[in-house]
Amino acid sequence: MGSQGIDDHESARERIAALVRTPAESRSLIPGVMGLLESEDDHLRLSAACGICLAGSADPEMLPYLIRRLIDRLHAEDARAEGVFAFEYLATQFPEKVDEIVQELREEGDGREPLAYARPGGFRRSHIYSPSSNRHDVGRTRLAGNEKDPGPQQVYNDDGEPVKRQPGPKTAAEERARQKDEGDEPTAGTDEESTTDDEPATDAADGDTAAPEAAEAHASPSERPDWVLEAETLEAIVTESAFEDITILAGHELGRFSDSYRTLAVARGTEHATALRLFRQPESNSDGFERYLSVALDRWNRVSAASNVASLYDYGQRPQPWAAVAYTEQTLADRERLPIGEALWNAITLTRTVETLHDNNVIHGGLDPGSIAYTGAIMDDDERLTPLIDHVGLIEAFRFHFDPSEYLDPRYAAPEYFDATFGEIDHATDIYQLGAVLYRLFTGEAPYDGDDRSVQQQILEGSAVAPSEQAETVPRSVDNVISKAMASQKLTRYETVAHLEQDLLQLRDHLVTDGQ
Amino acid sequence: MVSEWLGLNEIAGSANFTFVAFIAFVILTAIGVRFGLYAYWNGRATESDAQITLWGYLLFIGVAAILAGVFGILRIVLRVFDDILLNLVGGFILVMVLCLVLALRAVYINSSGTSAPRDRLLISVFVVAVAASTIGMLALDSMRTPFAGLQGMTGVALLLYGYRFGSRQLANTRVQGTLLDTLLRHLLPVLLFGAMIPITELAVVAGLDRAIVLHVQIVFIIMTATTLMTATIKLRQNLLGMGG
Repeated sequence: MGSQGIDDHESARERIAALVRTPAESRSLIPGVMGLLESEDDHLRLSAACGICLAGSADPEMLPYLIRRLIDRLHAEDARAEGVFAFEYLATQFPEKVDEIVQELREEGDGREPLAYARPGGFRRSHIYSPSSNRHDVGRTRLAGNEKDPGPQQVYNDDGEPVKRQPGPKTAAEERARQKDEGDEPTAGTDEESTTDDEPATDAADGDTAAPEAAEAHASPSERPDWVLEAETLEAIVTESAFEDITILAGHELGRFSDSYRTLAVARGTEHATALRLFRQPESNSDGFERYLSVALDRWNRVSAASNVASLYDYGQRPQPWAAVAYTEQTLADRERLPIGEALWNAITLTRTVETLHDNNVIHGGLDPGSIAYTGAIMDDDERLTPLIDHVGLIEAFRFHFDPSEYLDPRYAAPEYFDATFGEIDHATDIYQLGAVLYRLFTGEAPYDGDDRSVQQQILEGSAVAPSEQAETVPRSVDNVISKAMASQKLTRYETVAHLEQDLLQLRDHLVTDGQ
Repeated sequence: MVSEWLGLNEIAGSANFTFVAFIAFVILTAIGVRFGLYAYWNGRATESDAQITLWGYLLFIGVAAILAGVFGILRIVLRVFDDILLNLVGGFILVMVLCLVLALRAVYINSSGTSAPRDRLLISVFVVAVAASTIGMLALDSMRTPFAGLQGMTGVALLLYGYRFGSRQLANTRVQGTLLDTLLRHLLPVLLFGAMIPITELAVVAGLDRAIVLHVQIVFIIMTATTLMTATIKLRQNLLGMGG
């Protein structure tokens, strides 16, 4: 580096220092400092970014200029992290202003998305910013529908590289997001295109943790006034709850039973990553519904501390029925077919959990892949995602007030849901639906497929294709277990979940003996 | 007239034994009513043909138990007919055992997925043997011993044939762990103790005093009623699951 370069650096540092000292009175310095964001010197770029942040904060009139210049830089192929940092800082501090300018840019660009940029080592942020007056987003949190965001659960190895999720790091949801990023996403709007081939053709199949297509659309705040939780609602919930504080981390996701917000809740000084769920309410007889829901949540609470049951931290009825549940990242519906060993491990784990529910006189009633959640937190490649049973008993409250098919994937529903001559909804219903979930675990496919009428007919006839015929690698011994669990007549179904577990353990022993 | 017919009619000339026998027949009747009702309700609740057949046989078991119990009570409270009524009790017990065997056979056919075994002739032989032994003892009291032998042998044959289906069924992995499995496990003791009632008639053929055989039979009647009661629990459980 020559003396000229040294002089330039000194001059640049002085300009930045002047800007930092008196940010409100240094407008003339800003264009030059903005240019330093392209400097090859890391120190200069970072200093310039800080100066720009200070200038924006001190002189709001400069914000339009700063934001536009920063957005221009974000489009560059070699966009620097410091530019992203400065922009994100301003977007966090002045969301309304950023929103306004982004909208102006949209109009100027004939609707072209002005915020299409890729964050180095991160996630595509093309539609992440939809700030509004009461936006509570902070930092690098996953927003509704942003399925590529690894989220805070991302685990890094000793070399600082992100650890690949195990198994099958690419979930169905991630695959959809990838397709979207690569521009090969099919035309949105049809059920087939909005779901994977093995997932139901209804949004109901996505659990609260799976971002439904509607949430992926990322409408602007003006189009989606309920995108964030109203402050009054949040305050009322905090007042009613046992939490000292609840921080909304991301906008709402459309869940199966509720609108869900990713939150950080503090109870007795301990932070919990939670999903704050605001349950949907029927248009009529909401009092009756609330009573049912309250009983269902009481039951869930009874088993909430059990292993592999999604933790229910707190719940209440005012200002509207809500529950704070452990935050989970994906559901079985989002996952592809699991290897046999992992499928069997999941099967045994889930069976034991349902046994625990039944031991506590709790019927789930709505088991399907959308109600099997995964936290996504693993430490190394050898670990497996642990399944959690979610939505415990909620279907009992909802099915009398809403169309049950919206809250339970019909392909996994027991025949007693379609025809009362098959009996009542009871523990045997859980056994059937657990069998259907096991079918999905082992084969990666739903036991039945087709339109609603066809599925219903097949379920009543009990004519599912044997798992070993559905997927070649599934041992034939699995067929017997699943066919008994999914027997349409309760008389020939497993009498208790313990019997199912017993057969699964024997199956595991046989597979181990056979070296599979 | 009525007073001539009604009154205590001791069995084997023993008041104590008669009292125990009365209790046994009352229990058998009551449990037969309960078992039969639940079988009927289960049959009414299902639309599956295979299950309707099963519940039909179980209903007949209940009815046969009721009739056996009622005729046993009549034997004690009526001064007429005497041991003819006891022979009827033996006959209905044998009918009950035959129905049990047919129930086990029906379950086997449906759960194994195989075609019905070619045993129509054998079943017909069983029916004829049950009818012949009962009618023979009723009509030809002087030749009771040979017919008692036939009844005993029929009991042995039914026990073995029923056990064959039952054991196959219990070994069938398609049934293990299901409600049907536990129902079968509860019905097998009924088959065993029920069949032992006619089988003990063989002791008469061997020359044992009939009074002693009657004492043993009453014990088996009590055991049959007891095991039938536990089987009723499974019927009730299934009915509850069916929404009944």
